[in-house]
Amino acid sequence: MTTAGGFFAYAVIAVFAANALTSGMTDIDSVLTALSKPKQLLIMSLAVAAFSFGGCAILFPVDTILPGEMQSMPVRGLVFSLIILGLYFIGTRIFSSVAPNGYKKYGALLAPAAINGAALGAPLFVSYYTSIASEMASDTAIIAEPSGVAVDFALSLGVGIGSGAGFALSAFLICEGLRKINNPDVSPYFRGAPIMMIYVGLLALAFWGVGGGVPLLPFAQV
Amino acid sequence: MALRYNESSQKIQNHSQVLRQSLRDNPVLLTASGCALVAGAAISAANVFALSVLMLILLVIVGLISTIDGDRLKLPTKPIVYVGITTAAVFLTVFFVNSITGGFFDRLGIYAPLAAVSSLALCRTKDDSPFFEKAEAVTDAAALTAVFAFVALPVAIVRELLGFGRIFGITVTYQTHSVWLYPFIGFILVGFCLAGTRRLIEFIPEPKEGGEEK
Repeated sequence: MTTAGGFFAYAVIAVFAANALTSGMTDIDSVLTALSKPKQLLIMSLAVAAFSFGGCAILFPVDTILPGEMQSMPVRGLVFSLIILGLYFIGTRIFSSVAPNGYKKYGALLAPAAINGAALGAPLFVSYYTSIASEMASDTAIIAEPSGVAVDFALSLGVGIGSGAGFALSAFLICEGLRKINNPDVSPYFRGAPIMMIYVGLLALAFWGVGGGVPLLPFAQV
Repeated sequence: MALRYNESSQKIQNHSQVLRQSLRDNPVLLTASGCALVAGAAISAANVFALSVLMLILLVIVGLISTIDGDRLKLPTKPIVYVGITTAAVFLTVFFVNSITGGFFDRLGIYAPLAAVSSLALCRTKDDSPFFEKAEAVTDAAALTAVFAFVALPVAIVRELLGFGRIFGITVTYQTHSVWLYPFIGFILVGFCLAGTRRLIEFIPEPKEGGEEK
């Protein structure tokens, strides 16, 4: 029961409070790749969920042998990137051999799904909270547990799947928003990327509010 | 002698063209490449400096390798090669600079490794990206980094002032609020900075075929 509760709590955190798109982990270009058709968005989101879950699941044994300090974040970045690149390579091989027609149609979406901050950000996010759990225990009531965060399967599953679902939700909302805000009434200097960033900012504010305003910072320090 | 003069003049003209082209048709301004990093990590001028250094190194490396690669690498190998290189470059840069400066890049938190998969760092690996000579690739990388830093710095200054009460590390006010440090404020400020930069970029003469200016 605790495991199921943990899974849902981590999934909700990954969807809203630590959403890869609205917390600045990944660029909006990766969403634009998936926006041309709803089916492409769905497939790319599934691929993001698969890669982030794979990264988080492999993180479970790997993270225990890496040093626990925040200073080792670049080491983790290198290790997790290599893991996700390995998963991408294996995934494309399996996909192309099992469903060659599907690979021809959607194979090009696998690269942007694997190589973006959503897939790499999920294991980094889990690892980040593992390494600073004791410091943050008093501030973050949801994720930090009294004995420190144990990187367990529920956490990996929750963050992995939540990351993909959060990507799909925010990408869909960005897609819908862009259709409406890219109109001639918008100043030419704001049209395109600037108005999109302002819209994503408002979306991030809404997500932050829905996530309960959990103080997940600092991802970065001064 | 005259021939050599013409060659060097032509080279300077080519560099000037590349510089103007890169400043005007910039992925930072066109598709907001790399701006997610700004929204997340640009909470102080020092952070922007760290991000810009990292981005310059990555763009130079990726630019130089893409001149060698041309169009030889294809899916699914291409992303593996480039992201492997950028991740290794981030790791080595952070490792060496941190060991000298005592943790200069630690301020970026999880955004340092994420810079390796940033769409700005990988923008010159796309199929529609222009082909450059080696020296031109370095000029292009410098121009992209300059625009990135130009957009990021005002965002960081506003957030550092209102979030920490400091400008360039010097305390100026104690009336602060941590809400300015959240990514949503970063995104909104980035939007305004992108629009302002677009307006300013218009003052740069548009490059034309044959080296003439509009």
